[in-house]
Amino acid sequence: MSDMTTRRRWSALLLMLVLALVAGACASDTEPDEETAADAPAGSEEAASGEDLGSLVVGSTNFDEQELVAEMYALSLEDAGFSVERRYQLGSREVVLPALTSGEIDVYPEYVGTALEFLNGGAGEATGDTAATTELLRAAFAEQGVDVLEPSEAQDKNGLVVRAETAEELDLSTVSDLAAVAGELTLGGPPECPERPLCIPGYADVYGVTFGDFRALDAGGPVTIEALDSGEIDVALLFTTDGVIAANDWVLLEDDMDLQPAENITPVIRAEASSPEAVAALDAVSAVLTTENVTEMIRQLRVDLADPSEVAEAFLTEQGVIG
Amino acid sequence: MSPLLAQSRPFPDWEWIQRNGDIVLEQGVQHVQLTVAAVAIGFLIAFPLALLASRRRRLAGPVLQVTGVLFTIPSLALFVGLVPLTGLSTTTALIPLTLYTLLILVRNTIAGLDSVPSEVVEAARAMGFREAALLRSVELPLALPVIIAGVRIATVTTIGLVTVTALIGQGGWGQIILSGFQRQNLTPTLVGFLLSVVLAVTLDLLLVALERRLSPWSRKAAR
Amino acid sequence: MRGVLAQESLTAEVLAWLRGQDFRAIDGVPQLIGQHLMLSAAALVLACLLALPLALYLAHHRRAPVLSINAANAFRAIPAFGLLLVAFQLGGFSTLLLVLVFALIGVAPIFANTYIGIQQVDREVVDAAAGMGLTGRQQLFQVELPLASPVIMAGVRTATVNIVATVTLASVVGFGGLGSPILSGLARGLQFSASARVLAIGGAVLVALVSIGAEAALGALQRRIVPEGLQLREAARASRAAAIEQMADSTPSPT
Repeated sequence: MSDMTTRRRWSALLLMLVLALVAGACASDTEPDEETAADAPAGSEEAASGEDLGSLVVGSTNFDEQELVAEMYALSLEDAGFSVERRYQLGSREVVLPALTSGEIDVYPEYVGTALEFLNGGAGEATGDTAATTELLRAAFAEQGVDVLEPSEAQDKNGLVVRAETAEELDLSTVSDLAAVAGELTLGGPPECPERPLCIPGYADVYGVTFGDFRALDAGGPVTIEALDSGEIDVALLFTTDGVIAANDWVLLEDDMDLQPAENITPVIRAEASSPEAVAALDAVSAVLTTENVTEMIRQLRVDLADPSEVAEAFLTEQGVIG
Repeated sequence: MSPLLAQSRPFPDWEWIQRNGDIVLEQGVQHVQLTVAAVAIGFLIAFPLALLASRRRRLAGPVLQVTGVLFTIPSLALFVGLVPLTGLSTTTALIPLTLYTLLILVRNTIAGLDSVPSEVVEAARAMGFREAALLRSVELPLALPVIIAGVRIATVTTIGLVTVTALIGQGGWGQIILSGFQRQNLTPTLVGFLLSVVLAVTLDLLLVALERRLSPWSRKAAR
Repeated sequence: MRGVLAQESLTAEVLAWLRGQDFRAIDGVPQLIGQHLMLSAAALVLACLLALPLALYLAHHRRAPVLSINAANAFRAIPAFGLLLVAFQLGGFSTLLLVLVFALIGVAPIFANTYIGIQQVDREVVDAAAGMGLTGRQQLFQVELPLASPVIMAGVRTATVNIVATVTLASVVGFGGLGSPILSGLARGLQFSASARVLAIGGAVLVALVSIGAEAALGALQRRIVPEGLQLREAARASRAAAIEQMADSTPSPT
């Protein structure tokens, strides 16, 4: 690298930092104005409906799709007149769910099947039937003071993914195909996988697939992807909507014995924090989500590296949910 | 850079900066708040402890030994250990952060008080200074450079540790670093990282300036 | 893997974990300690290689004193967590890079203590050595270095504690070590599962033990390589040693 480019890089960096701070300072300068501007119409609406909508904390677990959908909830709630605090990428469900029941957050996106099996300790009640699974989830969550809203059409499941060479070499296309060879393979996935009913124990029970080793990585994030690419692991637990799978010509093994239940994306909200206005704002988001458009948006996040807030805002505006 | 995610995002990513300037600032405020709170609370607890330990020498050994052992526990373990008790709250981040500053501050405050020449203390006593006045107008001013050196180390260390709390949903700029990493967008990661370095250096220099003001007679800083 | 489905008692599983069997799909304790120590040792050696020659050179020639001490202190301002994630995004996932990041954590205390250690050697002693006809190199290695060794070793020990604690972060980027039971414990929900608690608490205790053990081992090493006379003198002049230590970098930075 020549001196010139080094120097240019450094000055770019410096400029970048200064800009980041200036942008922040400007944003905070204009904030009061924005607030008053935003408050004015909201205020008149409030006058019309005669109530103060208050504030809500929107949370998410630790992967892109969660942040995307959570941001949609946040934008829609803000559009309805709530003030929203965003707390994204908090950790696994094991961490975020207690945060919901303890009132640290008020709402986050869930997946009906996995959430049910999590709450019932892997009783196997979740099925491919969205409505039935949702009803059971409602009952399970009710004890915790949490409301399960109407599920969206969009589904995102966990899936086992292998490199194309591995698939070819071992002749793999379904999860069942793994049974004979899994003992020689290393699985990589989120650290919670070994204790999740629909993860390692599920594959063992339903398919008789027992992997030779497991590496605790991340929830379908860069660490898992890197490990699969470099050959550190042979099989990765990723999300079926992840555009990275297609972008790398990887093979998503078909869940031929239907271990993975219906996984519709659904807002779950603390009953105490819920209100008809909040439900309406969250339902408005669920109404426009489909597996196809979520998959496309995840592709934008993962392959084009777009910002979740950017993608969420563009999508909701286009769908007329906010504006 | 990961070859897997097609790098269609430029670097530096001006668009990201424009979009997220306010978040960067917001997280910066949290970063500073956590740091200042940890150091301030740490100091409030450390000072009386150190005073006690420097007065009763027998306590100093055990106090410093506990210091040594606690430092060997990585912050990640303490943060994680608190999650079941205090959830993802600021408290979960604040307790370990304070604990670490406590250890640095106790150590340096004891050292500071010890660095006051005994002749000076004797002379002050002979001049009729009572304990409280002795502490306030003789010992503290003389110990100040070393005490502030401790505050500086504690502050700079805490700023770095705050970034780790991103793993438990806190963490100021740590969150920007982590989300940039998860999305493999270098701009946020680098912005969060460099800003926390800049913050550490800035606060350190501010503390040096403070020390110069408070003890103009000490020509060279202790550290 | 089998641990997941096994129905043995938790205690039996933990004992087996300590003996080296996987516990709920997490590597056995000896393996985890092995990974942790390997990374730490490599980082420490690299840190010494990076810090010692330069510090010795600068201190021996009395060059750049203010800059040297301040530069070493400035290293504290670099958050290991951020550095690791930035490095991996810039340079890809590699063990070499990982070791380099952890080594940088240890550079500051070794550098600062070496510099200060050499600098505080009595000028008269060095002059006497020069008068006896020792060359500059001989002065450094036969006079200054032995006399500075207690302070230098203190720096190496501080670096060790820092590095061992920091290596827990390796698990954030999927490189194992004793951070992985801690992070796995968090992800599996300490409220929900006893095994998650075992992992998190076990990981924390093990890192602390490894760190204390490594420090003790270096302490023993120090007693071997620091000239006997100096050790006695150090004990006798405890207060002065403490003052030097205060000036030098002997405060571990937790990570």
